[in-house]
Amino acid sequence: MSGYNFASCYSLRTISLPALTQISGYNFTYCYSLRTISLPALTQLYPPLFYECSAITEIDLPELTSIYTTDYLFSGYSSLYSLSRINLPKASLASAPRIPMSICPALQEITLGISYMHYSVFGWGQGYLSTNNVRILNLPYL
Amino acid sequence: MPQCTYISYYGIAYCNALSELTLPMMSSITPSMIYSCSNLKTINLPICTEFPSVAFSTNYYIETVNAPLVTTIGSSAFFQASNLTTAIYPECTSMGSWAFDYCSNKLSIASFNKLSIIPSCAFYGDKMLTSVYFPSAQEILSYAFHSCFQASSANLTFPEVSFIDSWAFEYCSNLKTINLPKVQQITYGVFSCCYNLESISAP
Repeated sequence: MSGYNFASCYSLRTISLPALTQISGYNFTYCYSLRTISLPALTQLYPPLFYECSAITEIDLPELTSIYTTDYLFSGYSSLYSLSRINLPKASLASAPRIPMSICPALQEITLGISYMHYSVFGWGQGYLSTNNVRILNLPYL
Repeated sequence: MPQCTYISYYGIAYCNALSELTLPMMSSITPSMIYSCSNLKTINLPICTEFPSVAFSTNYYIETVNAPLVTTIGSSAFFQASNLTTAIYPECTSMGSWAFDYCSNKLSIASFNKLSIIPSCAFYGDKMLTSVYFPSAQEILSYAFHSCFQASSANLTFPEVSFIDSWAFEYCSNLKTINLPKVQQITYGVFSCCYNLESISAP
Protein backbone atom coordinates (compact mmCIF):
# COMPACT_ATOMS: atom_id res chain seq x y z
CA MET A 1 0.00 0.00 0.00
CA SER A 2 1.45 3.35 -1.03
CA GLY A 3 0.96 6.61 0.85
CA TYR A 4 -1.87 8.90 1.93
CA ASN A 5 -4.63 6.38 1.39
CA PHE A 6 -6.53 7.30 4.55
CA ALA A 7 -5.23 10.82 5.07
CA SER A 8 -7.75 13.19 6.67
CA CYS A 9 -10.29 10.46 7.37
CA TYR A 10 -11.29 12.34 10.50
CA SER A 11 -13.97 9.85 11.59
CA LEU A 12 -12.04 6.65 11.09
CA ARG A 13 -11.91 4.98 14.49
CA THR A 14 -10.63 1.51 13.77
CA ILE A 15 -8.83 -0.16 10.94
CA SER A 16 -8.18 -3.82 10.38
CA LEU A 17 -6.17 -5.05 7.43
CA PRO A 18 -5.26 -8.60 8.39
CA ALA A 19 -3.43 -9.55 5.19
CA LEU A 20 -1.50 -6.34 4.59
CA THR A 21 2.26 -6.92 4.55
CA GLN A 22 3.76 -3.61 3.39
CA ILE A 23 2.76 -0.01 3.93
CA SER A 24 4.23 3.34 2.99
CA GLY A 25 4.29 6.57 4.94
CA TYR A 26 1.53 9.05 5.72
CA ASN A 27 -1.28 6.58 5.18
CA PHE A 28 -3.07 7.60 8.39
CA THR A 29 -2.15 11.27 8.45
CA TYR A 30 -4.73 13.43 10.27
CA CYS A 31 -6.87 10.49 11.31
CA TYR A 32 -7.73 12.27 14.54
CA SER A 33 -10.27 9.66 15.70
CA LEU A 34 -8.21 6.59 14.96
CA ARG A 35 -7.96 4.63 18.18
CA THR A 36 -7.16 1.07 17.27
CA ILE A 37 -5.32 -0.56 14.42
CA SER A 38 -4.87 -4.17 13.53
CA LEU A 39 -2.14 -4.94 11.04
CA PRO A 40 -1.10 -8.40 12.22
CA ALA A 41 0.72 -9.46 9.03
CA LEU A 42 2.60 -6.22 8.40
CA THR A 43 6.29 -6.88 7.84
CA GLN A 44 7.58 -3.68 6.22
CA LEU A 45 6.93 -0.10 7.17
CA TYR A 46 7.98 3.20 5.60
CA PRO A 47 7.37 5.92 8.21
CA PRO A 48 5.88 8.14 9.34
CA LEU A 49 2.67 6.22 9.51
CA PHE A 50 0.46 7.84 12.13
CA TYR A 51 1.08 11.54 11.63
CA GLU A 52 -1.27 13.54 13.90
CA CYS A 53 -3.18 10.46 15.04
CA SER A 54 -3.76 11.99 18.43
CA ALA A 55 -6.28 9.37 19.65
CA ILE A 56 -4.33 6.22 18.95
CA THR A 57 -3.58 4.35 22.15
CA GLU A 58 -1.61 1.32 21.08
CA ILE A 59 0.60 0.27 18.21
CA ASP A 60 0.98 -3.47 18.08
CA LEU A 61 2.73 -4.80 14.99
CA PRO A 62 3.83 -8.30 15.94
CA GLU A 63 5.27 -9.36 12.59
CA LEU A 64 6.94 -6.11 11.62
CA THR A 65 10.56 -6.82 10.81
CA SER A 66 11.75 -3.91 8.70
CA ILE A 67 11.33 -0.21 9.31
CA TYR A 68 12.80 1.99 6.62
CA THR A 69 13.37 5.42 8.05
CA THR A 70 15.81 8.20 8.45
CA ASP A 71 13.50 10.21 10.60
CA TYR A 72 10.26 9.92 12.56
CA LEU A 73 8.91 6.50 13.08
CA PHE A 74 5.23 7.10 13.77
CA SER A 75 4.56 10.78 13.76
CA GLY A 76 6.63 13.74 12.77
CA TYR A 77 6.53 17.08 14.45
CA SER A 78 3.05 16.14 15.60
CA SER A 79 2.22 14.41 18.84
CA LEU A 80 0.69 11.06 19.54
CA TYR A 81 -0.88 12.29 22.78
CA SER A 82 -2.77 9.11 23.62
CA LEU A 83 -0.23 6.49 22.68
CA SER A 84 0.57 4.40 25.73
CA ARG A 85 2.07 1.22 24.33
CA ILE A 86 4.26 0.23 21.40
CA ASN A 87 4.94 -3.41 20.68
CA LEU A 88 7.30 -4.19 17.82
CA PRO A 89 8.96 -7.38 19.01
CA LYS A 90 10.59 -8.29 15.69
CA ALA A 91 11.34 -4.87 14.34
CA SER A 92 14.78 -3.82 13.26
CA LEU A 93 15.60 -0.40 11.91
CA ALA A 94 16.84 -0.72 8.36
CA SER A 95 18.41 2.71 8.23
CA ALA A 96 19.54 5.22 10.82
CA PRO A 97 16.59 6.85 12.55
CA ARG A 98 17.29 10.05 14.41
CA ILE A 99 14.09 10.81 16.27
CA PRO A 100 11.84 7.87 15.67
CA MET A 101 9.46 8.20 18.60
CA SER A 102 8.56 11.85 18.16
CA ILE A 103 6.37 13.26 20.95
CA CYS A 104 4.49 10.66 22.94
CA PRO A 105 3.75 12.06 26.41
CA ALA A 106 1.53 9.14 27.47
CA LEU A 107 3.86 6.41 26.33
CA GLN A 108 4.46 3.92 29.13
CA GLU A 109 5.59 0.68 27.56
CA ILE A 110 7.89 0.00 24.62
CA THR A 111 9.03 -3.27 23.14
CA LEU A 112 11.46 -3.07 20.24
CA GLY A 113 13.35 -5.83 18.47
CA ILE A 114 16.18 -3.55 17.44
CA SER A 115 19.74 -4.78 17.69
CA TYR A 116 21.38 -1.35 17.80
CA MET A 117 20.29 2.06 18.97
CA HIS A 118 20.98 5.30 17.22
CA TYR A 119 21.07 8.80 18.62
CA SER A 120 17.92 10.01 20.40
CA VAL A 121 15.66 7.09 19.69
CA PHE A 122 13.32 7.83 22.57
CA GLY A 123 13.23 11.55 22.70
CA TRP A 124 14.39 14.80 21.23
CA GLY A 125 15.83 17.99 22.53
CA GLN A 126 13.70 20.90 21.46
CA GLY A 127 11.85 21.54 24.68
CA TYR A 128 9.67 18.47 24.63
CA LEU A 129 9.92 15.50 26.91
CA SER A 130 8.63 13.06 24.41
CA THR A 131 8.79 9.84 26.35
CA ASN A 132 9.30 10.80 29.95
CA ASN A 133 6.56 8.52 31.30
CA VAL A 134 7.96 5.29 29.99
CA ARG A 135 7.96 2.68 32.72
CA ILE A 136 8.64 -0.51 30.82
CA LEU A 137 11.28 -0.80 28.15
CA ASN A 138 11.88 -4.15 26.48
CA LEU A 139 14.84 -4.40 24.15
CA PRO A 140 15.48 -8.13 23.96
CA TYR A 141 18.13 -8.01 21.24
CA LEU A 142 20.12 -5.02 22.35
CA MET B 1 -39.85 7.29 -34.60
CA PRO B 2 -40.49 3.54 -34.88
CA GLN B 3 -38.50 2.86 -38.06
CA CYS B 4 -35.60 5.26 -37.60
CA THR B 5 -32.16 3.60 -37.51
CA TYR B 6 -29.85 6.59 -37.94
CA ILE B 7 -29.83 10.23 -36.98
CA SER B 8 -26.90 12.48 -37.83
CA TYR B 9 -25.11 15.04 -35.67
CA TYR B 10 -27.53 17.58 -34.23
CA GLY B 11 -30.40 15.73 -35.93
CA ILE B 12 -32.63 16.49 -32.97
CA ALA B 13 -31.83 20.04 -31.96
CA TYR B 14 -33.75 22.84 -30.30
CA CYS B 15 -36.90 20.71 -30.01
CA ASN B 16 -37.94 22.54 -26.90
CA ALA B 17 -41.41 20.98 -26.63
CA LEU B 18 -40.09 17.45 -26.80
CA SER B 19 -40.24 15.67 -23.45
CA GLU B 20 -39.75 12.02 -24.33
CA LEU B 21 -37.99 10.35 -27.24
CA THR B 22 -38.27 6.69 -28.21
CA LEU B 23 -36.11 5.15 -30.94
CA PRO B 24 -36.99 1.45 -30.98
CA MET B 25 -34.86 0.50 -34.02
CA MET B 26 -31.71 2.41 -33.28
CA SER B 27 -28.80 0.19 -32.26
CA SER B 28 -26.14 2.88 -31.99
CA ILE B 29 -26.52 6.58 -31.59
CA THR B 30 -24.51 9.41 -33.11
CA PRO B 31 -22.53 11.75 -30.87
CA SER B 32 -24.35 15.00 -30.24
CA MET B 33 -27.37 13.89 -32.24
CA ILE B 34 -29.50 15.41 -29.49
CA TYR B 35 -28.74 19.02 -28.76
CA SER B 36 -30.39 21.69 -26.68
CA CYS B 37 -33.85 20.17 -26.33
CA SER B 38 -34.62 21.89 -23.12
CA ASN B 39 -37.58 19.77 -21.98
CA LEU B 40 -36.36 16.39 -23.10
CA LYS B 41 -36.15 14.31 -19.94
CA THR B 42 -36.51 10.68 -21.06
CA ILE B 43 -34.88 8.79 -23.93
CA ASN B 44 -35.82 5.18 -24.67
CA LEU B 45 -33.40 3.09 -26.73
CA PRO B 46 -34.56 -0.51 -26.31
CA ILE B 47 -32.10 -2.16 -28.73
CA CYS B 48 -29.19 0.26 -28.54
CA THR B 49 -25.92 -1.44 -27.67
CA GLU B 50 -23.45 1.44 -27.85
CA PHE B 51 -23.17 4.97 -26.55
CA PRO B 52 -20.18 6.57 -28.32
CA SER B 53 -17.93 9.18 -26.76
CA VAL B 54 -19.71 12.40 -25.82
CA ALA B 55 -23.02 10.80 -26.83
CA PHE B 56 -25.11 12.78 -24.35
CA SER B 57 -22.56 15.21 -22.99
CA THR B 58 -23.78 18.62 -21.87
CA ASN B 59 -27.41 17.55 -22.28
CA TYR B 60 -28.17 19.20 -18.98
CA TYR B 61 -31.89 18.43 -18.99
CA ILE B 62 -31.93 14.67 -19.61
CA GLU B 63 -32.97 12.68 -16.56
CA THR B 64 -33.17 9.12 -17.86
CA VAL B 65 -31.72 7.18 -20.75
CA ASN B 66 -33.28 3.74 -20.84
CA ALA B 67 -31.06 1.36 -22.78
CA PRO B 68 -31.15 -2.09 -21.18
CA LEU B 69 -28.95 -3.70 -23.84
CA VAL B 70 -26.14 -1.21 -24.02
CA THR B 71 -22.75 -2.90 -23.74
CA THR B 72 -20.33 -0.06 -24.51
CA ILE B 73 -20.31 3.44 -23.08
CA GLY B 74 -17.69 5.76 -24.55
CA SER B 75 -15.57 8.42 -22.91
CA SER B 76 -17.46 11.42 -21.58
CA ALA B 77 -20.70 9.88 -22.85
CA PHE B 78 -22.69 11.68 -20.15
CA PHE B 79 -20.22 14.44 -19.34
CA GLN B 80 -22.12 17.21 -17.56
CA ALA B 81 -25.48 15.57 -18.08
CA SER B 82 -26.09 17.25 -14.81
CA ASN B 83 -29.72 16.22 -14.25
CA LEU B 84 -29.28 12.54 -14.97
CA THR B 85 -30.93 10.63 -12.13
CA THR B 86 -29.84 7.03 -12.64
CA ALA B 87 -27.19 5.07 -14.49
CA ILE B 88 -28.45 1.51 -14.72
CA TYR B 89 -26.91 -0.54 -17.51
CA PRO B 90 -26.94 -4.24 -16.65
CA GLU B 91 -25.28 -5.41 -19.88
CA CYS B 92 -22.49 -2.85 -19.98
CA THR B 93 -19.04 -4.45 -20.14
CA SER B 94 -16.93 -1.51 -21.31
CA MET B 95 -16.85 2.10 -20.17
CA GLY B 96 -14.57 4.95 -21.20
CA SER B 97 -13.02 7.44 -18.81
CA TRP B 98 -15.10 10.41 -17.66
CA ALA B 99 -18.25 8.57 -18.76
CA PHE B 100 -20.52 10.03 -16.09
CA ASP B 101 -18.44 12.84 -14.64
CA TYR B 102 -20.18 15.92 -13.32
CA CYS B 103 -23.62 14.35 -13.41
CA SER B 104 -23.69 16.37 -10.30
CA ASN B 105 -27.26 17.43 -9.51
CA LYS B 106 -29.31 14.24 -9.31
CA LEU B 107 -27.39 11.10 -10.13
CA SER B 108 -27.97 8.92 -7.09
CA ILE B 109 -27.84 5.34 -8.36
CA ALA B 110 -25.26 3.59 -10.52
CA SER B 111 -25.69 -0.08 -11.32
CA PHE B 112 -23.52 -2.09 -13.70
CA ASN B 113 -23.81 -5.84 -13.29
CA LYS B 114 -21.13 -6.86 -15.78
CA LEU B 115 -18.56 -4.08 -15.75
CA SER B 116 -15.12 -5.36 -14.72
CA ILE B 117 -13.10 -2.11 -14.83
CA ILE B 118 -14.43 1.17 -13.50
CA PRO B 119 -12.36 3.63 -15.53
CA SER B 120 -10.58 6.80 -14.49
CA CYS B 121 -12.85 9.66 -13.48
CA ALA B 122 -15.90 7.58 -14.40
CA PHE B 123 -18.16 9.27 -11.84
CA TYR B 124 -15.98 12.23 -10.89
CA GLY B 125 -17.94 14.96 -9.13
CA ASP B 126 -21.24 13.06 -8.86
CA LYS B 127 -21.83 14.41 -5.40
CA MET B 128 -25.40 13.11 -5.05
CA LEU B 129 -24.41 9.52 -5.65
CA THR B 130 -25.52 7.37 -2.72
CA SER B 131 -25.89 3.84 -4.03
CA VAL B 132 -23.65 1.88 -6.39
CA TYR B 133 -23.81 -1.72 -7.53
CA PHE B 134 -20.79 -3.18 -9.27
CA PRO B 135 -20.83 -6.91 -8.48
CA SER B 136 -18.30 -7.80 -11.21
CA ALA B 137 -15.86 -4.91 -10.89
CA GLN B 138 -12.28 -6.04 -10.34
CA GLU B 139 -10.48 -2.73 -10.76
CA ILE B 140 -11.32 0.83 -9.79
CA LEU B 141 -9.06 3.25 -11.61
CA SER B 142 -7.82 6.67 -10.53
CA TYR B 143 -10.33 9.34 -9.53
CA ALA B 144 -13.22 7.02 -10.44
CA PHE B 145 -15.44 8.21 -7.58
CA HIS B 146 -13.60 11.40 -6.67
CA SER B 147 -15.90 13.91 -4.93
CA CYS B 148 -18.89 11.55 -4.92
CA PHE B 149 -21.09 10.46 -1.99
CA GLN B 150 -21.36 13.92 -0.48
CA ALA B 151 -25.12 14.34 -0.05
CA SER B 152 -25.96 11.55 2.37
CA SER B 153 -24.30 8.63 4.08
CA ALA B 154 -23.15 5.86 1.81
CA ASN B 155 -22.24 2.30 2.67
CA LEU B 156 -20.47 0.57 -0.19
CA THR B 157 -19.47 -2.95 -1.10
CA PHE B 158 -17.30 -3.98 -3.99
CA PRO B 159 -17.24 -7.76 -3.68
CA GLU B 160 -14.74 -8.56 -6.43
CA VAL B 161 -12.43 -5.54 -6.49
CA SER B 162 -8.76 -6.43 -6.14
CA PHE B 163 -7.08 -3.18 -7.27
CA ILE B 164 -7.86 0.45 -6.51
CA ASP B 165 -5.82 3.18 -8.14
CA SER B 166 -4.87 6.60 -6.81
CA TRP B 167 -7.37 9.08 -5.39
CA ALA B 168 -10.30 6.85 -6.39
CA PHE B 169 -12.49 7.94 -3.47
CA GLU B 170 -10.87 11.21 -2.41
CA TYR B 171 -13.30 13.80 -1.03
CA CYS B 172 -16.16 11.32 -0.71
CA SER B 173 -17.13 13.24 2.36
CA ASN B 174 -20.18 11.20 3.36
CA LEU B 175 -18.80 7.79 2.61
CA LYS B 176 -19.41 6.00 5.88
CA THR B 177 -18.32 2.40 5.39
CA ILE B 178 -16.73 0.40 2.61
CA ASN B 179 -16.37 -3.34 2.26
CA LEU B 180 -13.59 -4.65 0.03
CA PRO B 181 -13.32 -8.36 0.76
CA LYS B 182 -10.93 -9.17 -2.09
CA VAL B 183 -8.79 -6.07 -2.39
CA GLN B 184 -5.08 -6.81 -2.84
CA GLN B 185 -3.53 -3.53 -3.90
CA ILE B 186 -4.32 0.06 -3.07
CA THR B 187 -2.05 2.70 -4.53
CA TYR B 188 -2.08 6.31 -3.39
CA GLY B 189 -4.48 8.61 -1.56
CA VAL B 190 -7.44 6.36 -2.27
CA PHE B 191 -9.60 7.37 0.71
CA SER B 192 -8.00 10.66 1.63
CA CYS B 193 -10.35 13.39 2.81
CA CYS B 194 -13.21 10.95 3.35
CA TYR B 195 -14.05 12.91 6.46
CA ASN B 196 -16.89 10.70 7.68
CA LEU B 197 -15.45 7.33 6.82
CA GLU B 198 -15.84 5.25 9.95
CA SER B 199 -14.75 1.80 8.93
CA ILE B 200 -13.12 -0.20 6.20
CA SER B 201 -13.36 -3.91 5.84
CA ALA B 202 -10.56 -5.40 3.81
CA PRO B 203 -8.32 -8.48 3.98
